[in-house]
Amino acid sequence: MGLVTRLSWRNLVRQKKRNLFLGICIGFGMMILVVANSFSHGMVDVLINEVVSYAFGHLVVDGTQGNSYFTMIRDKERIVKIIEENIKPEDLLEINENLGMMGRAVGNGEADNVVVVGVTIEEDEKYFFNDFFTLLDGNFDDYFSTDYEYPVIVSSAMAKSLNVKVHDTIKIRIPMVTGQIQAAKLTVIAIADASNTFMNMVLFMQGYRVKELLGYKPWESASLQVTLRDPLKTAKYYADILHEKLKPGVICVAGKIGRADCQLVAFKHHDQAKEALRAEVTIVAGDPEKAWEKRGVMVSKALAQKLGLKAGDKFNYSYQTKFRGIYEEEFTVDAIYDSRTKLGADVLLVNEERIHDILNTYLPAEFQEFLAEDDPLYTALATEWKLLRRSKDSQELEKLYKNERKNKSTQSRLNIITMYEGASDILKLEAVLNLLTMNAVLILFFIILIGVVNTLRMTIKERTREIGTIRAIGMQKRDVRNVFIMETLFLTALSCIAGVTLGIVVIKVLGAFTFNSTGALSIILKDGRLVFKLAPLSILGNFLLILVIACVTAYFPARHAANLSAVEALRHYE
Amino acid sequence: MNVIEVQGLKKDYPLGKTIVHALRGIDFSVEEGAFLSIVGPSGSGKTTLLNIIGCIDHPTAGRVRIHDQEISELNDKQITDLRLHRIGFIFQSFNLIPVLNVWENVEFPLLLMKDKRKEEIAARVERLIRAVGLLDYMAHKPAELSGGQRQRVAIARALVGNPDIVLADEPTANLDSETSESILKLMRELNEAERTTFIFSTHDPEVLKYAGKIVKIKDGMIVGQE
Ligand SMILES: Nc1ncnc2c1ncn2[C@@H]1O[C@H](COP(=O)(O)OP(=O)(O)OP(=O)(O)O)[C@@H](O)[C@H]1O
Ligand SMILES: [Mg+2]
Repeated sequence: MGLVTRLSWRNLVRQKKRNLFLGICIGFGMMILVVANSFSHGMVDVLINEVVSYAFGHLVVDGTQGNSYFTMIRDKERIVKIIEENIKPEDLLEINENLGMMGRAVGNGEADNVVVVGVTIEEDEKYFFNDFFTLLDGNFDDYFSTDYEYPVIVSSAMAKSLNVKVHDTIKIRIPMVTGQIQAAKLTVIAIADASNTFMNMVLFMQGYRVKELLGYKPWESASLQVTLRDPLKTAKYYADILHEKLKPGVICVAGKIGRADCQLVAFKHHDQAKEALRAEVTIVAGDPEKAWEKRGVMVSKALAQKLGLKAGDKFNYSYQTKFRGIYEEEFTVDAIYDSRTKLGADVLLVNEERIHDILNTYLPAEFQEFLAEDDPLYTALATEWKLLRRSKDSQELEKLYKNERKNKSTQSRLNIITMYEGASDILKLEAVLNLLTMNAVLILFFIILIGVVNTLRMTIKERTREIGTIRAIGMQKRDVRNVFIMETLFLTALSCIAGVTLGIVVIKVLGAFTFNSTGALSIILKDGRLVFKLAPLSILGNFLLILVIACVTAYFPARHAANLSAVEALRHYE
Repeated sequence: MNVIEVQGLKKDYPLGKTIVHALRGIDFSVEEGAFLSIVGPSGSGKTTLLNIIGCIDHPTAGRVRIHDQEISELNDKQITDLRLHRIGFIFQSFNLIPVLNVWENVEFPLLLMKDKRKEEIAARVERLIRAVGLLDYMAHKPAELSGGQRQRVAIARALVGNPDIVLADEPTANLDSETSESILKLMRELNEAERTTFIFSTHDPEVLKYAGKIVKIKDGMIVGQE
């Protein structure tokens, strides 16, 4: 141990009351800091893991159409493949369909609003139930039972509200993707509470059953929730990658008119796009007005000649679908056009609004590549879907959806959202909570500032003759200064360590209490308990910051001590 | 050879509106290995003179040379170093460091020197503690020692760094006459054994028995030398 260290340490353990007092103050401040910090981290953790990620997913590929409130991805397989190909397997935990809809439920004489949520659980994943729920009555095994049409798990609060017991039926009226209202009978197979009261109004049902209930086709999907291993770090990163990879191609479906092969291509129902196309496409026969209209259908000169088609003729166009065999649609030729571009080949050119619904319902087996992105025609032709631009936050996202709902287009939309945008309002709470910690740091800062300065001043006054002695003996000013700084550092560090230890104890104690709250606050409770999460790095950072503050604060009085004249100091009598 | 040369030394203290002339022009020199006593009544300027020689105070006028080194030419860091290596202090009220035990107090200057090896330090410290007869008290804190014992520790500390000069301002003023005598004897012995120059002040005529050379001052001036 160096002389300076030894001297400062010994001086500290002279155990002056005021050192102890200052130490207790700093330690107490540090304890508050640790508790506040852990509380805010725990809260954010609960919000993200329990609330936000259920409500918004870490990363969501959201499909929408028209002004429907349902989410819809027409070709689940294809999108899932893109997700799986672009997110590293070690970062990807799972991909789930976000199946859920609000409906009106009637139990035994009582009615309530419920949210039916689909949770796909395999029979070998039964442990999930016990991780997630506390079973109060019934049997989770019936979740898989085929004896019931729609077996559901109900929270105790909802069971009470609907006045139902296990094996009772709940009648439900719930909207379907098709726009109709579905009426069904659900059977309560278990009454169980999820860890978060946020889940109280949810009826849990096997995923495929909810899909059937809501009218999704098996190959279709609601929006896809991607669960990531480390969403805080990777969600945005992968969202940007997926956004890039989900850029749609131009619609081009290989099909047949009679025996002749042709390609179905669509132009955008958009004045600017049509203007651009008119420069490349010359109508040679038929009604140009009608041809560019919403349901306009044009045939290239080459194709018309091959098939002997004239304007006004009807013909059948058929193509191979992915899931439903051959699909055939009758078109009427509004016009025949000539073009020197690729559109001049055997092309059936239609307004996008004429075919989006068809292609959505009867997914083509394959979309062909027609044009590259840098082709001047690209912007004039309709794409398979519309990829919405990424939003920065909840407000932007909300605005985007509002505008899109007004848009009358039948084209489906894809949007990539992370919880940051989806729940940016909720996550703002994190900032508020961090302020809480900052407040603790500030309080500590003042304790240190006032406490250290005063304590050191008194100490220095008391030890003036000692300072004179060691200066006379030959200790350099710098070392004298360091003795006092070091003493403060020791005191601060020890107090902080004690404070952290105490903080951890407090967290454990507070975390052990169960609160029977069902109010708004209960959303931050997990199993009725406050959640604390120690953030060692953040605490370490604050600890170092406090040491620096202490050091800087001690510097000036210590320098004053070091600069005392040795003679004056030696003459000092108390 | 002279270890110390003092020429035309003056020290004024401002005191309210007046000025106290603590030293009014002092010239003298000290030979190497001397055992010099500065005597004079209270307020005559002994402490002031010793402080200036010990390089912890600056004169108002005049020159101090230690080993042909003019003190006023040095900066604080150099002067501190000079004190550490060339001067040992013994104070009237001992001024030991209360949180350090006897061994650590004696060791203190050697640790400050930073260029000493561990074994060298241990050997030197032990030798001096033995010389002042406190081997049995090595682990004691100053508060656990008598006045005489404390002053012995201070003497060991002053000598441990092998200084050229040891300055002692009334080293026996806080001790009874018997203890005073043993302390002076010890200083004298060490003066002879180590060939270290000793300068001590006193106003006690009893103490003068032990002095080699005596410088008498009064009102800040030398009034006689023996
Ligand atoms: N810091 C100071 N401020 C003002 N006057 C001082 C100061 N230090 C010493 N003096 C004055 O200088 C004169 C010499 O003082 P000094 O302490 O050197 O005397 P001394 O011989 O050591 O006396 P004593 O035997 O009582 O210790 C005295 O008149 C004293 O009052
Ligand atoms: Mg004096």
